Amino acid sequence: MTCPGFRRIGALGALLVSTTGCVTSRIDTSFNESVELSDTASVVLLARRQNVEHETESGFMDCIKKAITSGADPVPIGSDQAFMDKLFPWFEPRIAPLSDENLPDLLAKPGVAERILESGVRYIVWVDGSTELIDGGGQLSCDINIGCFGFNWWEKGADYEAAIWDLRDAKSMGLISTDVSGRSYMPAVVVPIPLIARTQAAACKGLASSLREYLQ
Amino acid sequence: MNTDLPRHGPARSRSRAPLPRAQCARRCAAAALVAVGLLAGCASGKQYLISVDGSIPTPLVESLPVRVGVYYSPEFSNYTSAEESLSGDTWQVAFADLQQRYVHAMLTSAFDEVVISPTATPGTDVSYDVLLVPEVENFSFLTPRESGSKFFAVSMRHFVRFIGVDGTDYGAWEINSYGRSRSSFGRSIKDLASEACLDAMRDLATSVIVGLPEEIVNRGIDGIAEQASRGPRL
Repeated sequence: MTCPGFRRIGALGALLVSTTGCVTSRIDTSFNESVELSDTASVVLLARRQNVEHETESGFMDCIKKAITSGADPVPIGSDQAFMDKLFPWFEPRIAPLSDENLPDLLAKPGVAERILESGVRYIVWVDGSTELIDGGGQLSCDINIGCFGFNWWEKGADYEAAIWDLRDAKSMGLISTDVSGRSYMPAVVVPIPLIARTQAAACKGLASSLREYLQ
Repeated sequence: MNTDLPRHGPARSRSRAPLPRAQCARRCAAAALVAVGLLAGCASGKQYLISVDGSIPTPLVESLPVRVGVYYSPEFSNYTSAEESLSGDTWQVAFADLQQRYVHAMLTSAFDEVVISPTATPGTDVSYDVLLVPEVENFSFLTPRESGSKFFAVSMRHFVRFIGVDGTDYGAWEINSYGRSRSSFGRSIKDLASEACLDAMRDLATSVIVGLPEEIVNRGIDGIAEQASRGPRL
């Protein structure tokens, strides 16, 4: 026996799941040469954190790491925390090198090159960027008796880049950048129907896909 | 006023059997508990007690041939901050001896010899070249609700005073440290607060290990500025 009410709810649920806002994305890649990965974990992903206001979201880092290390032909990624602890304080946000031009100076510091060699990490990928609300508008009002009426929209931009550095040869290997914008809508006729643009997820997918392709 | 008029509908006029005394007492107690809970909720915000504990890695630096003395005041060694947030909640953050452990670990890595001084002024017969006196000036935080974001943010301001063995005051070095929590999914507010505090403490340790030798050089402290100039540089 089926209940018609449940069917309607199911149909509405399917509609909500299948409808999303609009997302446009662009990915640029620039590679100097190919990487040489060994069987052991020789890549770490590090989030750029320049101050308390500017920090690549940990959720985004988790997404990138998961996308690279799972599925067919996963790329082994080392623990970022273990790497930073081994090389403390040289990769702490306050003093981490901001450009590959600073790498030779860093590697010349006592014990740093030896410790990096010992850690087995050859490449680091600096992931920098954030997802921010760019614009929004509309008007939506709700009443407990008659429901919600109106229309809201908002646009988010997700700009990220991944810079790949070779720690052994102290040089930059390449750069991947992604620029995604997504507009979400929320029309409401009694019931609000969110049409969410998954902006950050699209940026993660694009960046991880390019990074994985390059590291394999 | 006519009290004989029926004030309620027919349902009220139905006769009800009296409740057993035990059941009545339970209902009264439950109602009293709800009332007390509501009154307490209206009267004040929540109280949070955060105990911060962690460890800091050994810094990858070479120690300098400098002997420093350090005085840890009781306030510094067992620092506790209590403040009321904008939303009316009370936050008590207890660092216990964490600050002293972190700072001391940095000093013992940065310098060949570190002596704990019992006082904030050098005595007549001391075995160090300069006395350092770390102090906490300020501790503040923003809860996710206040910052309108998903993370908990902490900022701290410390001073390290430099005192020569002859009592010369070489001034104080101001250190501003920041920390914030990371992923908030499925974690308690206490976990987030503790993580942000530890992050700020790690930032403080970074400043101390990298900045202290440079500060000694900049202040031209007698007899050790030359040795300190060989310290870690950015």
